[in-house]
Amino acid sequence: MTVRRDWVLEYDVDDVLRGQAADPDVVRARRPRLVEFAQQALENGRDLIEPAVLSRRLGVEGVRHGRLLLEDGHRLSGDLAVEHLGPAQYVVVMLCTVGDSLAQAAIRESSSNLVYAFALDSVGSAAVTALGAAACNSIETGAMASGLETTLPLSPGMEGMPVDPGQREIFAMIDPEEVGVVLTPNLEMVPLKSVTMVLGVGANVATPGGPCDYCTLRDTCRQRIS
Amino acid sequence: MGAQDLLEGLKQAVVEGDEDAAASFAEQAIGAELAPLEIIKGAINPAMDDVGQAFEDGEAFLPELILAGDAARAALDYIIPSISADDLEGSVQGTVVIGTIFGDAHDIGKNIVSAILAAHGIKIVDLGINVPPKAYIEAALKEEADIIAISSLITTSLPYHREVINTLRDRGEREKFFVIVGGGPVTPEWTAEIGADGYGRDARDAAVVCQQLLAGRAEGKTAPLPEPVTVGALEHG
Repeated sequence: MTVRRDWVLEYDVDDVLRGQAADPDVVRARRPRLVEFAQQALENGRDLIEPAVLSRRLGVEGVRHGRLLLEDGHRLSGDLAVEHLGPAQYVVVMLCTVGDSLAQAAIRESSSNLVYAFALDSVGSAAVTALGAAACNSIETGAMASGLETTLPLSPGMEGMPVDPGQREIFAMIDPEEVGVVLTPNLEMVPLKSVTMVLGVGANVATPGGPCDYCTLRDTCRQRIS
Repeated sequence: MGAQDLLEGLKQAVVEGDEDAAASFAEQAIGAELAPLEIIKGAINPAMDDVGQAFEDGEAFLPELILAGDAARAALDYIIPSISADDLEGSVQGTVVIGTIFGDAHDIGKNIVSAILAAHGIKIVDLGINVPPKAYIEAALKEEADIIAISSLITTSLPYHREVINTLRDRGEREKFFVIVGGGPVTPEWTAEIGADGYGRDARDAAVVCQQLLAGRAEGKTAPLPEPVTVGALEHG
């Protein structure tokens, strides 16, 4: 199990606006004040981002009764894990977080300046998205150097990978305290700007489609990629 | 500046989310002795309707809706103190008790819904996050609310929606309050399954649903409705 905190995250004001489900070009032309809010939130929020990725590599031992069996007696339930991770040589389980400082700042601001608070919250969304992408890229780069492929990162809550038991199973594989994340009895991660992902690594394991194809929120999400 | 110009100016300021201009036009309108309720009906409500419709049509974005809500509230801060007690009763459309359900700590989305509802002249009682089902009911009884609004951002908190409704039913108080649900994982199907009265995908939808339910209440309709009022569901598939 490793913890890495030295991430250089690439996200900008456009990512913050996209995190608000807004089109940056349209907003820039029509409501420049919103760009100013996003820019201000980005400048003030960057210092509050505390990126950390906890990861663990586990060998795939097989599939049984609709579960992916991993080394050390761990398992992952659900069709999605079985179908996409089953052929992998190993999986990398990751818990990514940007900490709680930014979220607390957004909460403090929300009673007096909701637009700015929303922008701050979106900085957190942009940061954790960038962190997840950077972590996946890191795994992918390592895999490619070995002539291997990676799957789409799978997360509990995707179609075929229920939050329960998926989140419990992932948290059983790692020590989340190392990065200050708690899983509540309701399976909510605190700090909220945290994500878990499982990436399969092996030969010919690349996943078809994109994340929205596997997301349970695709019927209600305004940000889905159609 | 004439009355119509003031109302047009105020409406435009709200649409553009310009708090300072909205407050200035509202102050001028009150100074020109326009009736407070006419200012609300002639400028603020249509402005929020226009922005809301643009949002619904995909032509405006959520932060623009919030900006407009902020501008509307800035104007209302000048207008409401001028409303007489008799007028005030008519100006408040209803009371909504709102909170993020137990087990869910997401705050921002619920705050946005609250702000937009308030900009529509609805009284908001915000219970915060991680709200136990019984706390909604106790607050609704205390505030003599019309609507209980439950926000959820995580699927694992959904069962507590049902608990609110079942507890109301068990206590024989289901008919007192409309219950609406919304947030990322909530669907119209879930709304119907648990017997809620309304579904809104986002802040704009929540405002529309609340207005429809309050209009229905004024016409004598009581909870539970045979079919929930649903707004904003994307087509599946």
